[in-house]
Amino acid sequence: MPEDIDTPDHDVSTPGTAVTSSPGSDMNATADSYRNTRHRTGARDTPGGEGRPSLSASRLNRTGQMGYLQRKYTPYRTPRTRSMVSPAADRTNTQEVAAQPDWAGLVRCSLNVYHVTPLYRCRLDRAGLKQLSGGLSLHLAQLATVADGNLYRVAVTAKENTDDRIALEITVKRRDTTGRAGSLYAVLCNMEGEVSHMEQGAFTVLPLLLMTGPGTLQNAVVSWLEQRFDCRVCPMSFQPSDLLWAMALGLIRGNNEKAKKQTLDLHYDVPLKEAGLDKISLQIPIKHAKALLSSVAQDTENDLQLDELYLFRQALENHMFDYFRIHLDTMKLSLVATPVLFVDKTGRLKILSVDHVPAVLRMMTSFAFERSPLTVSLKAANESRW
Amino acid sequence: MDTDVLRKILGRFKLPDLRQALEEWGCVAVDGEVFVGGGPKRGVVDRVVRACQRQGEEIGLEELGTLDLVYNKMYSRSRTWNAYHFTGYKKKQNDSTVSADVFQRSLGKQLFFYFRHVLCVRQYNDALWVWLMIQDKSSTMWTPSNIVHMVYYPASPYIFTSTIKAEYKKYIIQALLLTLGYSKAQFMDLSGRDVESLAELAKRKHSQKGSSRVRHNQEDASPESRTSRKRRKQDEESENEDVIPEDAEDRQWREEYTRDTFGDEPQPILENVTYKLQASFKHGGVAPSMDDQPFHMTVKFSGSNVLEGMKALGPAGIAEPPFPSYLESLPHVGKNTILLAERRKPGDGDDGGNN
Repeated sequence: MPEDIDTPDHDVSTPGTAVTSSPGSDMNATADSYRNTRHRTGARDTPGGEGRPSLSASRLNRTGQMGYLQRKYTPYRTPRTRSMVSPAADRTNTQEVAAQPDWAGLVRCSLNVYHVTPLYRCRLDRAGLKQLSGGLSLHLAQLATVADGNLYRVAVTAKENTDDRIALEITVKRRDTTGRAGSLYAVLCNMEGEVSHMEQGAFTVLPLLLMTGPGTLQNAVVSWLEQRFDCRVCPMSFQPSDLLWAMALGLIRGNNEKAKKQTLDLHYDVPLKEAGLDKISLQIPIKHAKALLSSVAQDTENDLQLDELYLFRQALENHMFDYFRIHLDTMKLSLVATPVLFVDKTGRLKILSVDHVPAVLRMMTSFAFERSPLTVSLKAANESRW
Repeated sequence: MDTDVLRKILGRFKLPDLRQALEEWGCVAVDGEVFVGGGPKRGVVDRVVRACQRQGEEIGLEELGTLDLVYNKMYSRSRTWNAYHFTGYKKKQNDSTVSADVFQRSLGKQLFFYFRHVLCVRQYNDALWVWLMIQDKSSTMWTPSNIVHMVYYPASPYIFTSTIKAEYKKYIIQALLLTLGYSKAQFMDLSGRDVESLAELAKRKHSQKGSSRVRHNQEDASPESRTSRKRRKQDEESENEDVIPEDAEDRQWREEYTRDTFGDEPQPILENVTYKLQASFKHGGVAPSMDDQPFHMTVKFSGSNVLEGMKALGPAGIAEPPFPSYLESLPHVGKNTILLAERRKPGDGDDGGNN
């Protein structure tokens, strides 16, 4: 299958597990072995799985021993299990709504997703934020070719979450127009990992950047961030397995209010663009998709396994092959659309309902963590000290 | 004369096409000097507009409509066309289908009963291109949302229209039926951007499959062309003699199958093909609890030329021949949107019935 290329799905230390689990009789057996694997290696919190304190040398040795499995040195493992339900602290209760930060700016607009390496010397107190606003407006004024350098009004604020997380919010508005046309809104946040690890000495870990606005403004903000905080801001691209997770999130947390036709849309890229066929898209009513997901997954809310999502995908591929004789597994999934969210492989994201923003942000943050080795090694270094 | 509208329509043309368009339009005598000046298109358009103003003849809604028609003929690919099929031919009115003027007059007469309108008809090759603008309130305003374009091939029971507003649709269809002498119009589930391809597909639908393969350009009548094509292919592949394809047999089988099924000639151009599948879920053992539950799926193929792409699915290895009948017969069925629903008979197996 055109699988995830850079995220290592195959657990090196697990004996004989194949990703393409044969369906039917083997399902329970492999599901059990994967669950045991998870407990043994500890999916996300202890990268490397053995809990060894020292970093690179020992791990390099280990991959050297398994000479026949020449894998890229990536110390971080993709989690095989995710929870689709927010932890108790974040659960949206009517009483807690007031304490929730206002994510309305992120809803119903086309967001570009970036992952950011840790920011150096980012002061999030009031004076620091004022400095940042001034710095950004100066930067924009320098870049603007128009004589009127005060075209944009910049505001950099901090948003507090219920469990003391801080997110950085950047708003760049045009002075002459009202409303959102031509203005940029960006949020730098970190919704995963323990709060105490957000400050690693002089570094602040805010790995997820979501931005909406005109392209030139986005590039300007990105260059300013890189300059000011000595970090790297890279556009994030999603692999098919990430898109599957996003699809699961959209299916499980779908809103049932609207009676309008709700479908799950999956777009596959066909490598026959010159011949004429660009993409094949599947549309499945949400009800049927949910039924399928709950039939392959044991516990959709808390403990959704990646292999269960693979089974979901396999069911669809079998169905497609039976009726159309087309091998869907030769093609890559490139876009997922549900009533709640819309993600495509180039890193565009659209969240359509404000209730699900924290969950989506949490998932995106974990994707961002998987991609930046600097963040991960900092985390590992921190853990090794304890 | 509405200079803004004229300027807008003229501005839509691409600069190299503008000259030809003005000649086809024929409402303004344009000499080469207008174009010699070069420069941006806006300047050229301004000069044309001034020439129109100078020449004294009034450029009214009809002339603007004709210009719009010329634009539409030139850029017909930027519009989505829907195909309608007429049935129930009554013998009486044959003449109205012959020439553009006659057609315009009789259609205009019929439409007049329903609403005030402006109508222009022109003949290009063997098709009548129609431009119709419906005026609801005042009679001098240009309402672009009420414009309908139609292409009619005389002596064939098909017509291709752009999207018509729901409120006007039945009146326009009724007027067409009365003008042409049919009794019923039905939307073929066929739409696309290229009118000629749509016409080709519509024609194919209602002809016998076997005997007309040559007519449909699926088999080339001349025996020479096939060998020359084979030779060309062999030349490409025998460039590097060190390369021995392991799957030569497989590849050849796929090519033969594709050639037999779809033919050699290029397929008509369609942008979207949609299959609505409402049959039992064939999950292959993965999800046994879904056996009795309904599962609907809509599969949409999209691209610049879907039929050619589907032809290439087999040789590329993405699809496995032999294809099911509804894929094989796609170029002949004359539809874009196909519903595959299972006939729910007790005790009967899964029989994907074509609807």
